[in-house]
Amino acid sequence: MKKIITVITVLMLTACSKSNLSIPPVTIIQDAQVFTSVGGIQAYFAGIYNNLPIEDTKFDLASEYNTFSFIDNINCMTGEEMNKNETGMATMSTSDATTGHTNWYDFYSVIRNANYFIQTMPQYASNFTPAQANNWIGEAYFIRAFTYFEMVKRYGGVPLILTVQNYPQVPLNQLQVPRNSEEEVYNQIGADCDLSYSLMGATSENVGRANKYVAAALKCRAMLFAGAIAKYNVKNYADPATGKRVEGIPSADAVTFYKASYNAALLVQAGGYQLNRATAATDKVGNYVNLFFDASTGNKECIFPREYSSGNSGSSIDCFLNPHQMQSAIGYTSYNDATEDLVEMFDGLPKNANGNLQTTDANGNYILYGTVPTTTQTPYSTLNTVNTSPPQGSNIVTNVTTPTSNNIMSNQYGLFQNAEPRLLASVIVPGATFKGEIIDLRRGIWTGPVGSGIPQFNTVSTTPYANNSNIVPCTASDGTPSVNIGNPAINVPAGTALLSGGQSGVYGSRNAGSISGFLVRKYADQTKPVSAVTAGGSFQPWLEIRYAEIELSRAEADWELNSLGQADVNYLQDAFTMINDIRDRAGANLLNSTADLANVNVIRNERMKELCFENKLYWDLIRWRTFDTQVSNRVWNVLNPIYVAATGQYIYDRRPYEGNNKFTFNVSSYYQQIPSSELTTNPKLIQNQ
Amino acid sequence: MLLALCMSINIYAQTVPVTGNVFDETGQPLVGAGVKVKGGKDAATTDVNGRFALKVPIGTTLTISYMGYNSADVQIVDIKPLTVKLTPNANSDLNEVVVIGYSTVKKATLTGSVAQVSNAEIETTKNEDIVNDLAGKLPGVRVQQNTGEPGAYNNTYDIRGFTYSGNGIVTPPLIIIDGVPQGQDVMQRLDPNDVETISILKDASAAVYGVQAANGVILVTTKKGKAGQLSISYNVTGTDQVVSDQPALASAVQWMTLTNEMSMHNAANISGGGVLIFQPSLIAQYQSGALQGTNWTAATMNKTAPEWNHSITASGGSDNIKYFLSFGYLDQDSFFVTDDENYTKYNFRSNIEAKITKRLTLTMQLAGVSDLQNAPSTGDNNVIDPMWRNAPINPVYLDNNPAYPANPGYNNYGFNNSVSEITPSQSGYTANTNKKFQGGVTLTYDVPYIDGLRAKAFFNYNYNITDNKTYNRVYTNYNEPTPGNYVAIGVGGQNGQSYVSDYYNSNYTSFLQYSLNYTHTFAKSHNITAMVLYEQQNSNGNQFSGFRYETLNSDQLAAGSTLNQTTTSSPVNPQATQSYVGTLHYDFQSKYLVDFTVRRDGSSLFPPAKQFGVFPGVTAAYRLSEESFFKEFKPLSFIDDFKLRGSYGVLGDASGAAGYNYVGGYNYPITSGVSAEYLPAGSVFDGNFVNGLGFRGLTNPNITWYTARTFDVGVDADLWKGLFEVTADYFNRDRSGLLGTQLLSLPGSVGAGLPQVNLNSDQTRGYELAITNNERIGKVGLRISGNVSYTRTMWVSYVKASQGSTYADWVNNGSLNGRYNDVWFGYGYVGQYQSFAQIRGMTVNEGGGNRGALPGDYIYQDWNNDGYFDGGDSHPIAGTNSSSGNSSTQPGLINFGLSLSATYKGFDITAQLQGAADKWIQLPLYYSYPLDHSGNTFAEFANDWHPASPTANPYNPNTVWVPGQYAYTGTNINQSALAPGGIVNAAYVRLKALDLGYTFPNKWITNKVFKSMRIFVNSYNLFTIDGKGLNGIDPEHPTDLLATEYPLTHTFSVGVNAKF
Repeated sequence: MKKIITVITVLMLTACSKSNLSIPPVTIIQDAQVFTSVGGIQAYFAGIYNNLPIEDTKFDLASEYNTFSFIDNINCMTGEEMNKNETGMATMSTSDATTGHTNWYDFYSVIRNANYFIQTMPQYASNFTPAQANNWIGEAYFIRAFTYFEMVKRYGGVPLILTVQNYPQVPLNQLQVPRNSEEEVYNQIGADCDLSYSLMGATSENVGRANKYVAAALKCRAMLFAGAIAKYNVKNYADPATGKRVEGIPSADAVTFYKASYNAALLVQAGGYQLNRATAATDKVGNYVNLFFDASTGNKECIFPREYSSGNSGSSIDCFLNPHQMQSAIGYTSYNDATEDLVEMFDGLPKNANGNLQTTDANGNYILYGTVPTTTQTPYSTLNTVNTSPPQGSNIVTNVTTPTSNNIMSNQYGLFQNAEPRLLASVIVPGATFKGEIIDLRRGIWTGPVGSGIPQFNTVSTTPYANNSNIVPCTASDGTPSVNIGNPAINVPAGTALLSGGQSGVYGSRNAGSISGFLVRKYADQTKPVSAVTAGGSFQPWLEIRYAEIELSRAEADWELNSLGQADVNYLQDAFTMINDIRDRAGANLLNSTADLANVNVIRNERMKELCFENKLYWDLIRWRTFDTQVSNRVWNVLNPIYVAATGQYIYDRRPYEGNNKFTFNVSSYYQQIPSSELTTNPKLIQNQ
Repeated sequence: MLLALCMSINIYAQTVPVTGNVFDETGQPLVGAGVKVKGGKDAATTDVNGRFALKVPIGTTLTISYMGYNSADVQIVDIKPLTVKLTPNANSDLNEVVVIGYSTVKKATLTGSVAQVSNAEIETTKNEDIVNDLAGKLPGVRVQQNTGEPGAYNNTYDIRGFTYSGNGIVTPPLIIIDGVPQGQDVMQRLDPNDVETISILKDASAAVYGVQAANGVILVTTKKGKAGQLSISYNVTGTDQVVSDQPALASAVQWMTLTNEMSMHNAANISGGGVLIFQPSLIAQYQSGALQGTNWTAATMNKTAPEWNHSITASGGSDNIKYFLSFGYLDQDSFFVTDDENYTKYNFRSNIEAKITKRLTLTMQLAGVSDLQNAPSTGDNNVIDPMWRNAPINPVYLDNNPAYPANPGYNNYGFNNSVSEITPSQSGYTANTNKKFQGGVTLTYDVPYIDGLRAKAFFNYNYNITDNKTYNRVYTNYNEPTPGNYVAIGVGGQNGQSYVSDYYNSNYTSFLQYSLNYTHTFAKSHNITAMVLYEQQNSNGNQFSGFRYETLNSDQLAAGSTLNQTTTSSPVNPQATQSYVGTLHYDFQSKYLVDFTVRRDGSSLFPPAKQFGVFPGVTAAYRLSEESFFKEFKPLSFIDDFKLRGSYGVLGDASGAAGYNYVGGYNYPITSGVSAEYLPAGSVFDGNFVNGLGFRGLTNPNITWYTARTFDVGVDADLWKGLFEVTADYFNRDRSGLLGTQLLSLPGSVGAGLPQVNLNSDQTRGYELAITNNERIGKVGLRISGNVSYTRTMWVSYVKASQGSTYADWVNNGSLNGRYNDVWFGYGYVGQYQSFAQIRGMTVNEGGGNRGALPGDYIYQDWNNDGYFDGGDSHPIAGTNSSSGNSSTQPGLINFGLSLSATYKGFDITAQLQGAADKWIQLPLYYSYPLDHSGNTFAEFANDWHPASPTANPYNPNTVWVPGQYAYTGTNINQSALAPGGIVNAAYVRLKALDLGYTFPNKWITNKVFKSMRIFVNSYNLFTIDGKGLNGIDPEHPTDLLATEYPLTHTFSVGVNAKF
């Protein structure tokens, strides 16, 4: 017994000797573990690239970067898209100041991590080859330049912090840095890009990371922006304490910046980048659709992609772009719909003298598009795997039967038979096929006579179908409580019942379905089954910089340099080559000669068509300083396809959006407000005016 | 005459030395018992061994008294040592042994503010979670049950409101079970039959636990064996659970009517407004019964669910070995019609004490619990949420065919079918298991040659395993756009695929303690108890989870697809603490009592130079009633005991300290603030996800715990021999060094976050009062015990950036030092518009120039009288325990309890009432916006203001209105106002427990099989009195998750307790 007690006592005493309070945390690592292996460096950059302020499909006006929501889409600010939420949309110009966004801090957090890398890497360089060390330092310069560009395009001049600041080692007053001038920031971006270009290798270490040509491409983008500010900005606001011009760049410097942009574009071209024409010879639409889904090095158009992966990183873009007839369990559909104004910019569409879509004939009657159905058509039943509205109200036709004629569907497509491939690849038009289904979009059914023509509806009224007994609209706009709203089914003479709004048209109190008559196709994953459309469930890559942008920027720099009297290169000819390269791949009408480039809007419109829905045009309108004239208080147009029951054809009613949504953009909004909390913590910061 | 004779004889009698020992009813020596010559002046007090010595003449009568015991008179007949056994005073609790930190004392000599409940009091409430059994029973202990979900153990509780104050950091009290710190999950799973006592250290008496004790300490003591015959006790309880708080859903007719109203209301909107969505003819069909709506509540939830509890304990032993063994089993079903959710728990305990030698005692404690909670795959919220929102015109199954569960959302809103969500063959399931084991061994050694010195070594090991598995299955709901045409819709899973995820966590804590204890009485009346103690604790663990898509119809992780499989792991940082404790108790004749404690605590969480802190405490008491002047003062003779208490201590709190804040570098992998949908934890390179570093930013080399200085004064009184017992306390806790960040100072351009620093301070104050009445009227024994407590917290200093104006600072910052931080800012409420005339006459612009206002709409208070109702009208409207607003999960500022019990012959009855006042909650979305997303709503919203004619234009001033309790459906309401659908008063009183038992008389038990038998009926949450504004929400049910958590229960139990 005593032995047992002795053993127990000894055991209990030895347990004591193990105690020690100096236990290193296992979840925290130090520089020595990071800067000594390729994996450590990769983890460092993985922790920066996820925070790199890229305006991708996880960017939203209300929540900005890395958000789930895609509702307050930046493209809805420009007329590319319209949005059911539009009246409640945050405007980028004020959101930072009013909702306390932390972007300002987040930008500098990325910059700090880049600065820290630039300072620290040389101490550990001996662990790697000089080429590796240089490449990574160059990558850190690229990250810093990228982030400063995101800042300068919002705020104008910001404090340039180029070394790591530590507190409390550095006293507070030295950490309170005033704003640099807007031009200084652009110069720093240019210098960082140059350094990055000279230090980095020709290929990215991994897809998703930079290389020297990515740095050049960023420079091309940023310098074009600076050139435009120099040329088009009219405001001159300097910090009274430092005299530095925080808003605006001297117009004399426009040439320098445009030339820097042009030269950077040449570097990118020399890097072997080109437009993707993989299947352009046989299928221009498919070629254009697919180029956004290929982030590999094989896609020579893709310069700087961001990728996503299941379980770790995903966007929700497909939820918000999904046609209503393919609604998934999560519920969202077609939040962002292409405007008619954007659509009619493209080629291959019937247009009237004003350049608008041709919907009426010389007599002011609607043109009937499509062919009269015959009885030998593909059965409608192929469309049955859809989610339709449950029957509503008592005024419905209870025995909705499936139409026997596929013409009911395909006739919707009537207006778009010859549309430019790039349009069909970017926008889902009524009757287009997506995910193997015809997208069924209507605004109503014309049940009246066709005989002497259907006269155009009142184009001014916001309730155009009210009290017109000849039309059964989906979603009554007439305000009378006698009819159903929603999506009533109507017996059409062919002996079938047809939903007045189609299966993806606007109807119901939720405004489900498209409100413009169009849907967005660019970046929408047509291979994703409906059941896989979930929040965070979209993994298609985002092409932050692609070569088409470089060509368009080069063309714009060309045009501006030419207009500024520069003749060292035949700039207009270069612009002509660039635009036609874009148009050829797009399947659009080519320019005949440089004479077609008389107006800069030819180049700008090309940019809008090519880069629509890519979160870029907002900033273009900002730098062109056309936002206040082109967008402010504008109601965008929709195209309402209406089925004509008597003939089975379609008429199209082009009109301003019935919701009448618009917003105001003031000249003062060209520069965003600096968050007020920053003005509190740094008294040397001055607010934009 | 005889007495006078005795006395006269005694005067002349020779004095002799008399010794004796005084014991209590269990044979334990009574320390400090008074021994007094009857009618004379000589007196003595018993020492630690209960021994006394006096010199008195033979024939003298001694009166031996001890607080809480009946006095005994003993006549000295010879010089043989006396043995006196006192019997306890049935009415008084003063002899009760109270468990305090590292020790026990009699209640009479307690110096701190400590409340204790015994097993018998705990067991009058029958709930699965022992914490709920405490509700209302202890002053200053606030318990709020959040759900009745089987196996969820979801409640919030605290001591004196200490837990919630501060920067949203919620730290539960320290829990010590049989001397070992344990997690609340261990305590909540305790079998009440195993528990001897639970005591609560509320003031500086907790200081002996140092750095962990700033929010009070809960000490649980389990039952130990007693020498004697084997005693077996078997308890069985059958319980019927009843839903306590599910609001009635609108019927099909009500829902269609309200939907029409909402549409008419929204006439001004761009589309879909101003029309009837459902034609009166259709509504009439439902009204007549020609068409039947669906009652989704009835389809999803039963009204009742069974629950079974079995417990068997065995206890007994000899002088050398004593044991207590127990085994328990709990089986609880849920209300869900499929019984998709249920809970089973097994627990055992073995407490064995062996006397190895005369001086050496070995104690072994083993305890374990193993449980399994089955639940819906995505949680109860995802059952009750759609249950509430599914359209009542849509069926559960298409054409009543269970093979075709219907898509129940209206207007294409993708609500899930709540019945499918609780059908494992459709939506999958979750299975959560816990296994918690504890083993402890203690050696106690009475050191020879030094009387009263005892050495003790104690080692304990806890091992916990949690294994939670979820099988989330993709299943199909169907639409029927045309009769007989079923259109399939895939629901559930992730990315359209079924998956299995399994979370596994194992952790251990080893605990080691050495102590030396010394008890001695000097000069007969100076009692000393001293202790020195060392303890250390080491913990470590491992945690990971696996995720695979299931391409086959399998629920096994192993059968899942390796494509896109993920494994995640949040490494657990090992931690260690070391503590040195010293205590000294001194009392003089049990009249002046003082306890000193000091504890030096060290933690591995802090930088080396800041690891240790010293936490002293003192508690003292003065038993005024022991003074002879008090005793001799006749008018006060009804006071048997009167004690003044005071205490002051310094305690610490390390919780909320982001561990290793002094270490720079990188978090790897990143685990906080990242998610796949938002900011990912890394980047995708070459198509593969690469974990990124988390940059830790600036460091604080000086971070340490914050300190709490606690002060308490109180009085304990025992009146009329235990007829009334009164305890009253005032307490104050000042905390400083609360962690915060100096947002004020650092420009964002530094690009790194400031570390936490010990920055802020606050103060919590309150009162407690408890009164107990014990009475016996004839054969009826009565006990009434009530308590009430009140607590508030304010900032003493709070560093935060200015918000730009003093008003904004006042509202948003709480930085105006001295403002209560438990103030709820919101808007006042005036009433409802009664007519268009009133709207036109309205002088305050309530928004939009009141152009959209309709009769029945809510009028909010223009508090600042500027003519506009806007953000500037926010002002304190209610009290809350949270500085962050929604207090729905928290108790009120005033909490009270009342227990009534009576016995008559074999019958006993106990009623436990509990409640809170100054308690407010913010109603969740569904209670504020009926018909959100075209979903269903609650029946009571049918009682709204609406035009008499369903087709009348509501904006027409001539429209005739029908008044109602709520505004016209579709009215936007302000959820931050003290108005319908906003913030409402949630004060309540509820009959927490009603227990009625009958113990069979012994004479009936003639077969010798039973020693005793008691049968009982019990009800939990039998009824509740609360405010109307709660709209049927249980006042304890939290509203932050849309109130869609599993409801609370009220239960009816029948049980037998048989002793063999």
